[in-house]
Amino acid sequence: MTLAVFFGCTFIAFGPALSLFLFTIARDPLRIIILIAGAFFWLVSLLLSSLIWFIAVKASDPRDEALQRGLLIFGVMFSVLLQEAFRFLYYKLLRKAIEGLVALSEDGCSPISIQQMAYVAGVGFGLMSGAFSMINLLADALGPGTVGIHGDSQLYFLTSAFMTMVLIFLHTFWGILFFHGCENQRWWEIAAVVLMHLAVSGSTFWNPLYVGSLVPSYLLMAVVGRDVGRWIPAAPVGGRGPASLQLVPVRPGEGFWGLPPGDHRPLQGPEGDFQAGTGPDAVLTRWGY
Amino acid sequence: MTELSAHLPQFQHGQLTENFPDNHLSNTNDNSERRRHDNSERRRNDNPGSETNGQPQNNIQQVVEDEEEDEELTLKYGAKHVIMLFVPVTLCMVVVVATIKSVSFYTRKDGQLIYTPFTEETETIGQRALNSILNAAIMISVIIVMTILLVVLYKYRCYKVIHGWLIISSLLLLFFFSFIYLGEVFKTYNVAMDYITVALMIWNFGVVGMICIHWKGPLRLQQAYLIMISALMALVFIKYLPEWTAWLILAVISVYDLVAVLCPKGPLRMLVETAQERNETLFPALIYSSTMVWLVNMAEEDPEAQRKASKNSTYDKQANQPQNGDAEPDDGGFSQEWQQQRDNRIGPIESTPESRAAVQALPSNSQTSEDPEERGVKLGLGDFIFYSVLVGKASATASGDWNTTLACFVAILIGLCLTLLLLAIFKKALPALPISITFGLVFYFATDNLVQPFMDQLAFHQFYI
Repeated sequence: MTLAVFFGCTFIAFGPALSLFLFTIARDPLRIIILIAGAFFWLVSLLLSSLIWFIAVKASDPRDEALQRGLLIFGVMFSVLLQEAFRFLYYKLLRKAIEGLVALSEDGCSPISIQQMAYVAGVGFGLMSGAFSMINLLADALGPGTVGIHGDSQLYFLTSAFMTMVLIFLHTFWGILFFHGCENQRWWEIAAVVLMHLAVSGSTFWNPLYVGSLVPSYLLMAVVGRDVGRWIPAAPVGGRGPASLQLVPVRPGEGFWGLPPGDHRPLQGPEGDFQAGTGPDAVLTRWGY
Repeated sequence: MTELSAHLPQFQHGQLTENFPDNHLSNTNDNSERRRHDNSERRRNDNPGSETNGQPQNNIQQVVEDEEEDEELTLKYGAKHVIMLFVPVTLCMVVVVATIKSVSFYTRKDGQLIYTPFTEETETIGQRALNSILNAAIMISVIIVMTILLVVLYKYRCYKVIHGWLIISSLLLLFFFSFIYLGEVFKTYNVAMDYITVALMIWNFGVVGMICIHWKGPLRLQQAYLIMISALMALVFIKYLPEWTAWLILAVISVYDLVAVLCPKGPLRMLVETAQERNETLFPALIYSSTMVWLVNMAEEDPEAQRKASKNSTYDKQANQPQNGDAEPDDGGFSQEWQQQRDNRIGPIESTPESRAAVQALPSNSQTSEDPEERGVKLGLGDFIFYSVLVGKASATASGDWNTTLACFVAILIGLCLTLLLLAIFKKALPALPISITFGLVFYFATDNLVQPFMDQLAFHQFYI
């Protein structure tokens, strides 16, 4: 327990997310705002779903264990659906915001593209979700105690940290996928995100049988990450330094991180049209569609 | 620190007006009004004097251009300004929460202030509710009275009284309260310390703080001190306000802020308008400002000083008129002391038609070449204090603990973001408390009562949503 577990679990759970934040989000004020607004939307969805669950619990018999567990499962599923609904609402808000930004900018281009917003929104959702899951655990990990002294799993903190990490990544990928689906009216992508989220949350019902929850989640994360990663034309993990991660005023549809220097094919006109124009098509072409 | 003398007129007043949030509570409430009020002074163009400075002919055109540019630029630069305020607000909250979590002194019940005489340790809930309502009513009336007193003092130009008041409060805050804070931190970590070292530390801290806040200092240091005193003040509130009273006061104060800043006869609005009429700023050290505005070309013989001189000389003539009630123009804050300081610094400068012409002949962009990004945003210290009180109380008393704290934190930041968005749209003084405090309160009660049981059950079964 204490410091070693605290720091270990903190960095397992939040290390990757923190580096994502530091390297890609922290430099641009607009992205930070989008991140915090994303966190706020997740929070509101959690609030509403807790309200529903609370009402259901208060209306039911508190001594019936199976019923309470059933209500909790219902609460989890409802919360997942509500989170995705709020993700959709956030998408709508960001679309409006992009129109506003385009109107206010000097060259008719938004300083941030919808894909970048999707990524940041995903990270926002993920960070808030992870924080809410993990922070109280971490605070308790600082103090004295023995994990699983009453016969529960002794790996509780560790698995929680790993689960949090995978959820943060998944939220990021889901954000990108969801927004892409909304942009191009590909409803099956949206449905896939919702189903994946339900599946991952559902897999946690196997806990403490961790092989039933952690392993599928990581596999799912790998699959989704690979798919989403094919979108990114200049992946920052390819060895290019932070210079490639700076905010480049991106013409909408140019791709995720902006075009590499020197390659300035204009992918769409000055009006910054996001609809079925050349922007998303360019991305789709890359994806082989 | 000569470059810091190149302030625009309103920042010069930092030399004269020692606006400092009192730790003395009546003054604080009052100052917090002033602060919120000053906070409402977050205008994009916070240099009303800039356009009127010696170049009347292209004045109007410039103003129009600036306005149009501002239309375009405001939201584009809005994000940066929002972050410029996010960071200090976050820092203040982090300091308060860290102290609350580690130093038990600030969560220990050691009595109440005289402004909240009714106890909350009553038998019935109804009695407790009644007491807290009475407490909140007393506190709010004290605040209202103090604010009106301040407005009256300001209107009748009793600057000396205000300055004296501010100096006393800042002395109390910087020396006495930080001494207590330091003592409690030492007690918490069981650090042995002798009085001589403590005296030295507090003396240095306090004196540098007074200089930075009331006079001149590096921007970051001044900002750091403002954050520290806001945190200290918030900690005092958290300690001495009982629970229900605190929440009620927060709610009522945000309503009061809304009314006082937006209603035509609201005291804070009158304060702002009076200050704008007189072309002064309101006690700059009571406001957290995210940037200092410099003049870009300092190479010539201190054009700033020449401008100040020409302005000053204009006021000098007017000051020769007999002083009477309220109608005549005052020395604009360029009091005798300030003139002496200026003379000592750069030598007596006479305003002659030649020097004025020379100043007017300066390229006009010496003022407007200030990078629009350098235009800072200001937030009153009262807002810092009440945000931190909310988050601190959430972390001190919530059963959901860190979840509640985090939720309140995000809610306040979003409220601040929305307020700044409204500011960018409406471009006039706005209260910063209502939206943030409303969100904060809603999220506090909702998270504490609804979300926390849910998350608790989820953590118990290790379900993830």
